[in-house]
This record gives sequence, C-alpha cells and structure tokens, in this order.
Amino acid sequence: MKKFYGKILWLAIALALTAGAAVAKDVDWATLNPGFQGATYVKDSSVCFGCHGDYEKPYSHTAHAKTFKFGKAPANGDCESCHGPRSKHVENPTRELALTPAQQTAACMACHQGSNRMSWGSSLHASSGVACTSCHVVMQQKSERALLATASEADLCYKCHSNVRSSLNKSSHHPVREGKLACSSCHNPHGSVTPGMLKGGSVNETCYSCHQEKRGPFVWVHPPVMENCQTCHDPHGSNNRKLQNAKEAFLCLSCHTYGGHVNLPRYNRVSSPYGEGCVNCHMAIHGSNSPSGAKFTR
Amino acid sequence: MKKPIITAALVLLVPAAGLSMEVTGHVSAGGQVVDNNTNSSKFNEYRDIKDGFYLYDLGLKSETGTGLFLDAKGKNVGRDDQNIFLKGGRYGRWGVSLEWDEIIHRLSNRAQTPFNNEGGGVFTVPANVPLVSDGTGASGDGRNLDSNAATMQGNDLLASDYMRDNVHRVKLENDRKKATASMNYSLLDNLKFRLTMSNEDRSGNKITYGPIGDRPPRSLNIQFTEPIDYRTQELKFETDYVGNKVQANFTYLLSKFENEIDTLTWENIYTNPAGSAGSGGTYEFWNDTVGAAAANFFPRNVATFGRRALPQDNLYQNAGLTLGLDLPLNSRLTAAASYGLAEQDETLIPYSTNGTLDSVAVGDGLAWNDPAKLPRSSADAEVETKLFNLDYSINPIQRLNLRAYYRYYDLANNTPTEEWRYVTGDTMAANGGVTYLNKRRNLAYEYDKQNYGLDANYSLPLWASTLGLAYGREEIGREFREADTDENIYRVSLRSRPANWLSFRTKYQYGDREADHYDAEAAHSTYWYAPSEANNNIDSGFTFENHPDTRRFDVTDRERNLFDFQVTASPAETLDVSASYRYRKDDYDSKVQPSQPLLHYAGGRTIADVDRNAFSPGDQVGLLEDERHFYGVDMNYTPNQRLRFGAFASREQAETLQRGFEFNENNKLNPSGIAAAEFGPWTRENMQWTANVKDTTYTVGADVGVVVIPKKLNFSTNYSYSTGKVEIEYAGWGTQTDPPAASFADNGQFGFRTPPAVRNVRHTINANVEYALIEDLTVAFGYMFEYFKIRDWQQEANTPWAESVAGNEFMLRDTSASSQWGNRLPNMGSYLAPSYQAHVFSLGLTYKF
Repeated sequence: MKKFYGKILWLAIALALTAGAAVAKDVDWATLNPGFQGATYVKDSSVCFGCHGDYEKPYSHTAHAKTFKFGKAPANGDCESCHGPRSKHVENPTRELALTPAQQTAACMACHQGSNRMSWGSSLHASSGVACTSCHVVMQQKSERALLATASEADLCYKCHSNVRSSLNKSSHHPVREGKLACSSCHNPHGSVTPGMLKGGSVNETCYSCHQEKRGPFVWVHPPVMENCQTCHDPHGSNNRKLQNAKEAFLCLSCHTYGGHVNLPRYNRVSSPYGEGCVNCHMAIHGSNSPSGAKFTR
Repeated sequence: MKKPIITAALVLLVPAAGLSMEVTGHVSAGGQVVDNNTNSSKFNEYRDIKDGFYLYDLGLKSETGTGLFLDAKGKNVGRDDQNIFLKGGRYGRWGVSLEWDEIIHRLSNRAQTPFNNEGGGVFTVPANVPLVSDGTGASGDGRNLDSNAATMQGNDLLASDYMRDNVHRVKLENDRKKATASMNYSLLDNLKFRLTMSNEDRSGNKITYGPIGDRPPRSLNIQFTEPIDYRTQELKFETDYVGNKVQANFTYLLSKFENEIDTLTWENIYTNPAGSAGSGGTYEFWNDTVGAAAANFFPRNVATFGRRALPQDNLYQNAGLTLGLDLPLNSRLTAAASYGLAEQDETLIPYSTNGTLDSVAVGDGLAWNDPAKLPRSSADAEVETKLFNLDYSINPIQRLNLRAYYRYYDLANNTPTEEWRYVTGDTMAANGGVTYLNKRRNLAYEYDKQNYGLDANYSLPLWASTLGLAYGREEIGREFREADTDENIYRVSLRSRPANWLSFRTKYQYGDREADHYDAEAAHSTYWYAPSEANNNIDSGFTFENHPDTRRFDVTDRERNLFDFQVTASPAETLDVSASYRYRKDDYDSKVQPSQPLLHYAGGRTIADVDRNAFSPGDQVGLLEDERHFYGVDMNYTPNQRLRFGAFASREQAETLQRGFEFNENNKLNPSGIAAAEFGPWTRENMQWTANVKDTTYTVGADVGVVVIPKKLNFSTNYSYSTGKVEIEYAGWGTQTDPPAASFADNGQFGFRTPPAVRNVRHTINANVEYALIEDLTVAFGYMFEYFKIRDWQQEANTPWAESVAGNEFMLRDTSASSQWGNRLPNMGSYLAPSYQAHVFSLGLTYKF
C-alpha cells in the first residue's frame, strides 16, 4: 500500500516538474473553420466592443474577463482567445466566421480540458451533440456559479431531462427543488468514468458521499445494498416513501420468499400492512454490525 | 449559538471589505408570516419558512484594482436552511473559500412517544404496561402470554391506555451542518492545486423500531426514535495539469465518519403478566402454549431491554489518477485508475442484553450477554475497490467518430467470515438455547464488473444529422450470490435538424442480460449447522432458503427495451416548444421450469420419496416486468423584453408485475404432509398471488414574468402541480374470491385484497410584486399558497386488516386481534407528516450598493 501511494506521489511530482516545459493547448483555427486561413490576431478588445458594445459591461463582470484582466493576460488577446483571429472579420464583419457549437467546444477545451472535464470527449453529452454553449453562457453572468445559461442549474438540466423534473417533484425526493442540492451534487455533466456520469466510481460511492453512515462496511451485509443502492431506491424521486422503487413490503417481496410471514403483504403474525412494512422489524436493512444482526432485526 | 455569530461576521465583512476596495452588492431582508393549518412537517421538510424577520439574500463583491477580490453570499441567513459562502483571492492565481451550509430534514411535528431519551442512545419509559395472563403456564405461575382471545384483547386495551397516558411529543427531525474550507492555487497557468477540508455534523433523530422476541408471533415491537449524532470529516487534495497534448488529474480523499452514539438501547414497555410469581417488576419470562398440556409449553426468557449497534465509525480513502492524451489523427485516449479502501473495526456488542446462560447441551454455557461468547471482539470489516477505465476516440475520416472503451470495477470484501450463534430479538429459550437456524456465517459478499464496447457516430450529409450505432457488454461476477450476469447492449440513435427552427433526436436501446446458472442454493453457505442438528422441517441449510421458482431481479435474466424521442421547435424567435417521449420495459422472464429442490437432499432428517421427488410449479416468482412511459411538453414564449411565459406538463406511468408464493415454511422438507392444508405447501400452484402496480405521476407548471413599468414595477408568478397515484391490484392467494375454496376473511390470518390507491397531490402558487422606490431600493411583496394532500393506507388504520385499538392511533393491531404479538404496533401516530394548506406572506426590501 505504501509503495502504491509512493508511486502516485512521484508521478504527481514528475508532472509538476515537467509542467514548465508545456503550455496550454493551442487551437488550430484554420482547421476548425477554413475561413480563418490567413487571419491574424487583432489583440485589441476595444475594436471588438466598437461593434459589440452591448456585451462589454455584462462580460466585464464574468470570471473570464477578470481572469484575463488580472491573471496572466491571454497570448492572443481577451476576445480572440475564444473567438479566434479576427482580422478578416474586422475587415468584413459577416457571420462567415461564426463558430458552430462543436467549434466553440474545441475553443473551450484549449483551457478547460482538465479536472472534471477530462472525460468530456467520451461523455454521453458529447456523443449526444451537446456543446459547451448548450449549457454555458460566457458573455454574461446569469447564474451564481459556473456561467450557466439559466439562473438555476436544475432548470438548465430540465430543458433536456424533463423526466427528471417530474421525478424531483414527487412526494419523496432529494432537496433539489428546495435549492439544497443540485444535479451536479451527484452528476458530472462533463462526463465521468461511471455510467450515468456520476461523480463517484459507482452508484454506491456517489450515494456514500452524503450517506456515510450507510458506507459500512458491515459484518452482516445485505448483498443488493452493497452492489447498487438503485436496486431499491430511485434517487430522483418516488411516490413511495424513502425514495423506494416499490411500496414497503412489495419491495422486499420481489426478492424474498422464505415462507410464512415473509411471503405475504399481510399475515397476521406481523405488522407489515402498517408502519413501514418489513422494516418494522428488519430496521437494519442496509447492513448490521450487531452480532445478532443476521436478519437485520438488530 | 453559531447562527448569530455567523450573521454578525457576515455583516461586519461589509465595511471591512469596503476598505480600499470597490464594493458592490445587495441585501434583501424582510419579514414573513406563515399560516400552516396542520403545522405539518411536510411543508418545511427541507426548508425553514416561518414567521419572523430574516435576511433572504445577501451578496457582496469587492475588488481592488489589482486583481484581489472578496465575495460573500448568504441565503436565508439565520435559518435552518441557510447557506453562507465567502471567497477571496486573486483572479486566475489563487483563492480561498469558506462555506457554511445547513440542510434540515423534518419528519414530523406531531410524533409522540412514551420513551425518555436518557442520552447515549438509552431510552427508558416511566411506566410499563401491566400485562395480564390467562392463568396458564408451564408452572401455572400465570406468566403465560400466549393467551386466549379475551385476555389478549384485554391486554391490547391496557397497551392502548398505556400509550394514551404516557406518550409525549417528540420532535422528529435531523439536520446537517457543514463547514467547508477550500484553497486553490495555480502554481503555473496549467498546473493547479486544490485542498478542501470539511466538517459535517448531523444531529437529531429518525424513525426506528424495537422488536423484542424470538419469532414473529412472540415479537413485542414498538416504533420510536433513533438518535443521530454523526460527524464526518473529510480532506480532499486535487492537482490538475492541462498541457498541450497531455492532461492529468490526481485526487485523494480521506473521509472519517464518527457516530457519537454506538448503540441503541430501549426498554421493553411490557412487564411480567400479573400472576402468582414474577408479577410486577421487570419482564423476564414468557410461555408459549400449544394446547393446555404442560409438555407443549416452551418457555422463553425475554429481555427487559433491547439493544443493537448503530452506524459505526468508519474510515474511507480513495486515490485516483486520470490521464488524457491527445494523439495523432484527431484521436484521444483517456485512462483512469482509482483505489478505494473502507475500514470499520468497532468493538462488537454481545449477542444480547439478556443474561440467560447458553444451553450447555448445545452451547458453551456462557451468558448470552458475555462478550467472550463472540467469535471475535471487533468487526474487522474492510472493503477495497479498484477502478480502471480506458477510453479511446478517433475521427478516422471527417464525418466519422469512433470510440472504444473498457471499464473494470472490483469490490473486494476482506471482512473475515466467522461462525455465529445469534440471538433473535434478545429472546431465547429458558434453557438458553436458540434455534439451530441461528447458526450463521457472515459472508463476504463481493463483485467485479467489466464494461466494454464500441460507439460509432457518423455525420450524414442531410439535415445536419448524426447517426449513431453502439455495442456494449457488461459482465458482473459475484461471490455468494445466486448468479453472475452478462449483458449485451445494442443502441442506435439519430439526431437531426431538418430546419433551422426544428430539431429532433431519437434513440433505441436493447439489452439482453443472462444469468449464468441461477443457483437458488447460494444461501446454503451462510448456515453452518450439522445435518443432525436440524430438528424440524424448515432446515433452510439443506432444503432451500427461498421458493425454488424465485428469481431475484437484480441477478436474473432481463430483456430491456428503451426508446427515447425528443423534438424541439422554435417557430418564431420568441417561441420554443419541445416534446419528449421515453419508454422503457424490463422483462425478467427467466424461463423458469418446474424443479425438484429436494432431489439431492443431504440433510439428516428422514425424507419421503414423494417429497424428495416433488416438483415446484415452475411459475417464476419475484419481479416479472417493469414498464414505463413518460410524456412531456415544454413551452417558452418571450414576445418582448417585458414579458415571458413558460409552461410544462408531463405524465409518467410505471407498471410493474410481481408474483408471490405463500407456503408453510415449517414444511419445506415434507410438502406432502400439508398437501390439502389451507396454509399449504410450496408445490401447490394455487398458493400464488400477483400484484400489478401502476404508479402514475402528473406534473404541470407555468410561470409568467411581466415588466409592468420598466425599471420600476415587476410582477412574476408561477404555479406548479404534481400528483402521484400508486395502485396495487392484488390477486390470488389471500383474496376473498380466489381458491382455496374457503375464502379468506379480511380479519382472518391471510386475508388481503387490493388496497386503496395511495395518492398525493401538491399545488404551489407563488406571486411576487417588486417596486423600485428609488434606483437602488426595491420593495417586494410576495405570497405563496401551498396545498398538499396525502392518502396512504399504510399510514392509517382504515383497511380491512388494520385497526386502532379503542380508536387510539398510537396502538395498531391486525383486525384478527389474534394472539400474535407480532402484529401489534405501538407507534408514534398516524400520518406523521400529514396533509396541509399553507399561506405565506412576505414583505421585504432589497438594497443594492
């Protein structure tokens, strides 16, 4: 284990030491759009705002504007770092050099391909034709964080995922509509190695980021719990209590047929038709550390 | 205490931050009046809307002219759902942020309990239910609780009176308070470091139950509260490098979870029954009668306190490295690897609080509450996870994108397996014995998963269309489960833009999952008793754990069909309309055939040939089908800068079908012995039942924003409606019209029928008027109306099989009122979060500076 950590540490240091020899990605504008062939950088944003003055003030409040102004100035000028060399556009201001969403994405990736966007190219969103500008607006601050195209992150996601809006409005739900959680609390919209673009390495790892008390590990394990929380729960919302996929006893009855009281939604030796069903007695259903917890009644 | 300090600090920041800095911001403050007609906790389930004055919103931005900045934001400052965020730094170089966030989760404002929380997870009661015996018992001492009907119902009234006389209100809620500090630093333009530390305290309580008793008919249960006193501390380090051709990201997470309360201990609310011996005082002795003969009495020692372990302290670490390489031919390779380690080594509590000595004949003679009886003293639980992912994409020709991927996830459970002899519900036979079925091993369940496949996307020369084809495969190997599974997944997709104002996308996916030899005997590994020890016909270790025709839906065959269609139209610059349809059907048909589970019976009991050769009916038991439809439509209309209108509507229906199979578990080994019995054998087809569940949700919403007078008067309103209905159509064994010939009475043992539909509906209306008094000062008046109604047969006693004792909601029982203690449920009240209507009036001022 120590050797593993040591190797990781050395790799990180090696990357840091070689960092100085490399620069951020360059965009091959002429390949993106042949119209850029022969164009040069103007490197003077006042020229751009001379025609596009409406954007100047809202843009000035954004993180890009401030980073370009106070951080390291972009080599190709404020506007042209993202919009490409604009000498030809200044000479002949048409929409010939307007970038398609895919081209805009290539421009964004020149700086933003790292961190949680590493898997963008292989993500479900990318393969579905979603571009950076599908969700983000660079020229003005519409949301509190992340330069989203809408004030609320959830409203942005609902534009394509209206089924999730329906689920989150159900009686049992995570507090997304109350503003305490966001879609990005569990998902990485830029892509991840996990199906469903989850932030964790698996469904369970994602759930455990908030529900650490369910993490265990336990002495007595409930196998479908350990494998996938979604076996029993719908994290987006449910008309059943506690985000359950089925109503109380019927959920357990889809797997358990031991005999006797186990096999029926009502058998008068137990209280499963009221209270919370089977967990009236089997309350440690996520796993147990009690030596007498084999059936999760302890 | 923390809230006033934080509020004051935030307010002080304004002038402090204003020194030598350009400061802008806003403050919104005001008052609210709330009228919630039932004071239902559901209204404030995850929020804190209440009477009084508070800071709705606070924002502050301050900058020097040299790139230094300080931002502060606050929402609902001073309330249980507040969020406060501070960030300072230098643009593009470094930043430090602090965040304080609270999430409240309210479960009930009307719960009542007889328990007193003594602290440390100990719950006692001020008095006990003075149970009465019918005078029988092994020694005639009057401590028999398996009473005749009259005595039993008399005890029910005593319990009901006890609950009415002793319950008091208890707030049922818990909250999370999380403090997060984060520092990020750009060592170079393309090399960043980030360190995040957090501390989250979660406190309050939630619902739990406390059964005491060794079998359901003898189980004394009660619903009460479980204390929550958790702390999670996390440290996360991240470094990110973005180079011209190479990107790398390394993260390390350390998460430590602590529960300040290790165990939950609750007092048995019932005393010894009044009788000639053992009357009054604590509860220790109970007889089980089968007829009146002394030989049929099987005494049990029942504990005065129940105890179980609460979520234990655990430690989790995860390190991950991701590399991205831009390669020739416009291709890219992403590789990721991570390692996770979860550990938990809590000291184990004894098997029981009950101090009865274990039977010397079959045990070790130690008391069941002696820790020395355990096979090990601590949990020693450990799970490792390994993740490896490779992803390669390439555009070999201009219109074509190809992607190949491989993913491997392994969860290894290193928790040692031991042989345990546990106690059920702190109750054992008077001689200290427990059933042989309680000889169980803890199995180290684990699994590994591989996903790999190929995607292709081709840009068609028509309508800016893209055609996609994909093949993927998922293979899951499991230890101690019924089956490994393999699934082939095929997908075809098309997205297109026939016109500038019209686009659509559609997808069809087919998945065919197969279980590799479903092993219904996988559970045998958990039992460790010898064949000679099995003294009855349950004998799950050598017969079967679950009915042989059962297929657990997560590890069995599945055919999945998924179809998705969405169209978006913008017929005018001011109008967007979209419609979507989504369909998914999972068919779990596993082609179950009749089987002979006892054919190779190797237990120690005598088995008749007719039973050894007995067949199961061969009808699959468990979840059979799951079919879902979703329809949605959205519209946004913005005719000019002063008016916007949006609306949406959707319908979602999920329909599932499951089959159950009732049988007498006491006759697993000899089904022929009860061939014609009402409570019959696992071989008899008419013991089956089905449940067809329809779960329907409608959601509708609309919002309007109007600039009545530009820069002076704004009006906005929105409405949302959501309703859900769960209908369970129950048929087969248990209903009154199906076989067996004697229909089951509702108040019998087994009667069940289609229950009433579960319904919930929520209407929410918001209206806001904002008027600018002067340029930077706006007054806002707001009104919210919210209506929530719920009907759930499980939360009230109005079904044919559940009733309140003497009309007391705190004491429920089965309508049979039989001598089965397991169906009695002293509880904290029906509809803990009931329906409500609420009006909220708010008045506030917003000042911008």
